[in-house]
Amino acid sequence: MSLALKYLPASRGTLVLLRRKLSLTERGKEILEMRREQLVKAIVDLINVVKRRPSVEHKLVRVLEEIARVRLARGEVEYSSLASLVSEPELDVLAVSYHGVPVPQIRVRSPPGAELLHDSELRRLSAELWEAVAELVEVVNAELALERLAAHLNYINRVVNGLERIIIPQLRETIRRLEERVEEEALEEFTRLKRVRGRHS
Amino acid sequence: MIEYLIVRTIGLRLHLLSPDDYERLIKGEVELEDLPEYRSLVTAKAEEARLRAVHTKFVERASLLLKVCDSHAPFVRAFLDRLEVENVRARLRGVLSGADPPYYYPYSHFIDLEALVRARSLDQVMRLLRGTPYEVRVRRGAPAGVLEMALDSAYFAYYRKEARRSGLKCLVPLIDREALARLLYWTLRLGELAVVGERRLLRGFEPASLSVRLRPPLLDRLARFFRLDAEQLRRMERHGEVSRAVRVAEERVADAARRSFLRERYAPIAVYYYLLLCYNEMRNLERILLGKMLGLRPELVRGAVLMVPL
Repeated sequence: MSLALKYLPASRGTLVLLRRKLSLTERGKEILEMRREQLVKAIVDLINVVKRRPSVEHKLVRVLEEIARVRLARGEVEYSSLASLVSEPELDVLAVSYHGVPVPQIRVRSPPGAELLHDSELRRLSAELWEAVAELVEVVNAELALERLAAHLNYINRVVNGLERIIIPQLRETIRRLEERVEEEALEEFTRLKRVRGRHS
Repeated sequence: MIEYLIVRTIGLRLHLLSPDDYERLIKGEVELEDLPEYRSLVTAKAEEARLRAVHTKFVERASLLLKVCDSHAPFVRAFLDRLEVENVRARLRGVLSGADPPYYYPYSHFIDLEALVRARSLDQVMRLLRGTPYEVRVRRGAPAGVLEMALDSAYFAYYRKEARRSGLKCLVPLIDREALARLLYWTLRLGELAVVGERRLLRGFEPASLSVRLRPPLLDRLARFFRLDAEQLRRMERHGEVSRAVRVAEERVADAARRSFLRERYAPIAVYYYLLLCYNEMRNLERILLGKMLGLRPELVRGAVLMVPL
């Protein structure tokens, strides 16, 4: 029990204050539990996205292999000059609020431009590569969000556990103790009053 | 004099890499600098230095033939000029994209390579092409693909002309095959309708000695010529699988050259076959080096290498 609670004066006013504090703490715990549930749901949704990583990676490797095959077939001069016709994608990293938690997220400012590329094979492969990269960006965003949400969930769990196992029991114990003291003092006062009345009569 | 050139190329052929050498390179048992032919050319351990050594070797080999025989030099030079055409094509793409392609072949003949690399606009490139055999005339605003096809068309017309000028008319059917393989690439890349529509550009690809008419259905005609399945080619065209089809056509060109060479070993075909083998070695080594650079599985690299028996 914290010292502040231990040395509280036993009075009805303190009891009212402590009961109000207990009610507020319990309400806070309920709200945190609701938030925890909300975060768990969000995490489950994110896990479903993150689960796609192996298939996205597989797709990416397949496209990269296909591009490497074309690169070998065409030769470096041909390939590098054709590749120079594709403009690079522009990406940004922004801090986005995800269920109230700030999470860094990759945002695509502009996809790669292959308008100048007239080679149907490389154009197809470039589109497939971007598709795989965009999916990977989505998975990475989900992973980043998952990491931050999991850390936040861990924090909420610690707070809820602290409230549930330490603060609330301590408050209850202090209220019980103070109630007993107040009752004892009231009884003592009543007895004293009775004795004083008996002496005077 | 052609006899001397033929005998030299037959001897020089023995210096080319064998399928075993390729296999050892793919497996990583030897590096390029371990091969005696390339030892002195590899100046650094970097892949780019190795790539440059491979290209330089091809240029050196063809240049040696140029020194050996003056009267047939135009043909050898024209064969070598395909590298220059590739450089021009790379520069054209660089001009279009505004980005500098990182790599060019270390070769120039009609156009100074430095001036070409410095060219910053389409007009500048066209000015450099003026007066050369690759001068192209396309309608204003023609797509980049058509411009590149025009470049190939001009090159094959020049290549054929130079073979005739060198007294090597017998090589024209093989040049025609090469031109048709390239036309197959353009047909798959631009689409049959677009290619057939460019009648003027088809002239350079028009075979002078083979009975293939460049009219619709062009893809079927080319498929028949290269013994390919027309339906499969159409599927490749639809799915944008150009490389696979072009690779088969390249194999057919090499096969035809080999068959001609085996029929007449001591004929001018030996010179063409030697040059083709040198070019093939350059492409194969490029593929192996790139495969290693990209960390590809050996079987993938092996599949890309075109094994032509010496």
